[in-house]
Amino acid sequence: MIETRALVLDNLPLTEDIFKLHLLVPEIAAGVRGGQFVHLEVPGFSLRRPFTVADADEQSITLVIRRLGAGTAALAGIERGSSLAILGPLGRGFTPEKGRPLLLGGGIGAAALTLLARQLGECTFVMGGPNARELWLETLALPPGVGVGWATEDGSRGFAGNLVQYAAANLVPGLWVAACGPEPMLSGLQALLRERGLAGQFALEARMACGLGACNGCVVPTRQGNARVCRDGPVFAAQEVVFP
Amino acid sequence: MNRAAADLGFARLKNPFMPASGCFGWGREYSRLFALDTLGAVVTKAVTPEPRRGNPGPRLAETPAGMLNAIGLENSGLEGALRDDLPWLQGQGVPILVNVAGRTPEEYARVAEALADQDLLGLELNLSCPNVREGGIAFGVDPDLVYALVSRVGEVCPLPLVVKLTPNLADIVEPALAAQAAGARALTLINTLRGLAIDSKKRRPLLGNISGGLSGPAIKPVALYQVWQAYRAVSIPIIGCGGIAGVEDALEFLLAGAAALQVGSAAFANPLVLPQLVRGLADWLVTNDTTVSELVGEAHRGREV
Ligand SMILES: Cc1cc2nc3c(=O)[nH]c(=O)nc-3n(C[C@H](O)[C@H](O)[C@H](O)COP(=O)(O)OP(=O)(O)OC[C@H]3O[C@@H](n4cnc5c(N)ncnc54)[C@H](O)[C@@H]3O)c2cc1C
Ligand SMILES: Cc1cc2nc3c(=O)[nH]c(=O)nc-3n(C[C@H](O)[C@H](O)[C@H](O)COP(=O)(O)O)c2cc1C
Ligand code: FES
Repeated sequence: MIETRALVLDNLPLTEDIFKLHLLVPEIAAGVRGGQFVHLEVPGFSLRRPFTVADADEQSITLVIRRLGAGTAALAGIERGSSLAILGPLGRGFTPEKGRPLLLGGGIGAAALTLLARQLGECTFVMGGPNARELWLETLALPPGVGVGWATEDGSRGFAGNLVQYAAANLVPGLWVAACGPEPMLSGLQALLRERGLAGQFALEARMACGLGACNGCVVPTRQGNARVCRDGPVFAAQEVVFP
Repeated sequence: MNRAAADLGFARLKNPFMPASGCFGWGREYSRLFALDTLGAVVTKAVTPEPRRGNPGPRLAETPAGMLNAIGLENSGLEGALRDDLPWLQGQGVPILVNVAGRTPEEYARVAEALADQDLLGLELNLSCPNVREGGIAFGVDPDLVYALVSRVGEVCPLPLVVKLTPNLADIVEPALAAQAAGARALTLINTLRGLAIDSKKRRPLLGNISGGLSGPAIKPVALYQVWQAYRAVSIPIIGCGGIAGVEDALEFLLAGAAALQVGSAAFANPLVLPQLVRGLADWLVTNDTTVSELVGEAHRGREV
């Protein structure tokens, strides 16, 4: 874990509101694990923004970012050659368990799973979204062993339905599930996994201040009591998480 | 000569900088980024007699030039602090102020008594948390309660007591004088200002606790004014806090009358801000051939105090 500066190598739009930041930051790129995140400066804002490392090679990392509010809108306009303060890698990533890995990424949640997919080498990775236009996973070059599938709510590509419906139809014995996405998706998946006796891990989001585990700003309830998403997570065992 | 030495009366610190309570945990996480003994002192997260779960989320909101927090004093209680946190921090070679909170004066006294024979710089009594229903701010706004509470803690604990007051009142002078009269050895000014954020998409308050405490550059002028006012009224040293992020901010607080400085939210924007301030101020003092002691309260000179 280190505090340093990242040089913006590239900033590319992937869909209407999703873009990809390519950052030169060797100190963080070396040794980052799937599911870990960075805390990134946005010039002019009081708090940093947490983003999962979506991809990494020896020198650089890639973030896939959805424009949500003012901070991510500012990042969408950041120019190649700029430099941003960055802290990372942070948090606990995924720790693959026994079973054939099935990765389920709802919308921008898929960004939390792409580095895991690369590190697993062999897995099935299903991305869900409202329609085919919102699916950006193909724009990252994943290893050939990663079987990519799709689920769209309007049926414009792949499975017709959301990822919980997809899981209901496809969760069979012998799978291990890694997932990230909106809360209703994760709580639906949690119930399915419990029913079918499958293990899984979820990457969660929470508003953060320190990103290090010092301020207790990012806690979520778990069966063990409060847990800090930044330090105890962001990846938690599926059945540990308590949804409201 | 150490130009940066800060004089708290009951102790001399190698520099005036310490993290503000609650923004730094017990220092474990930040110790992975820099050696804690570069700091003048460390102020811990609040300790209450029993563990506290704190407030429901969301607990944070960004604001223009600052942030709101509503952590609600989540901590692992006196036992947890004595078992896991304090022994670790005591091994870091940095003076320690333990921040203490409670629902009643007796709860403060319980924590203080249990810490009385620990090797500490002192206790910082948090009479100013805006995010809990009982205790906290309710004590800090009432000079009689401040006096009663500080005296009660003084009876059971010989450690130097620093009283952290709230800016959520009309006049800081009365509670400041009450704290001094009750035996406080220093004051910390200020804690956060109560504020609100609304989530316009959900059409509801954003924070789980509804209100939160405002910190960061937005509150710096308020903090400076309270330091200024208190400096003119009390004779005990003041630890300035509120929106300090750069050397220039630090100088302004020293000139207004602060003898030492706490830095909270700025560490969220820049986790290395504290060691950078230590270095930056040291350089400034050399360049300008002066010392921290010479600067403290300098802005008052020529005016009748
Ligand atoms: C561990 C982790 C990994 C993440 N990875 C990604 C990623 O790879 N790609 C991506 O697009 N997004 C990711 N997010 C979400 C991302 O951090 C937010 O979308 C972003 O902070 C929003 O900032 P904003 O200024 O645009 O939004 P605003 O709503 O204006 O932000 C206001 C404040 O709320 C915080 N905030 C708002 N929404 C969220 C949220 N969902 N999660 C955390 N903080 C939030 C902001 O950080 C900021 O402090 C991740 C979040 C976490 C916790
Ligand atoms: C996340 C957070 C947690 C805090 N927790 C405490 C606390 O436990 N006890 C306390 O006395 N003050 C607490 N504070 C207040 C700070 O110590 C400080 O007084 C305030 O943030 C103003 O300083 P700043 O502008 O430098 O942040 C907290 C502030 C923040 C932002
Ligand atoms: S963001 Fe500070 S503890 Fe997680």
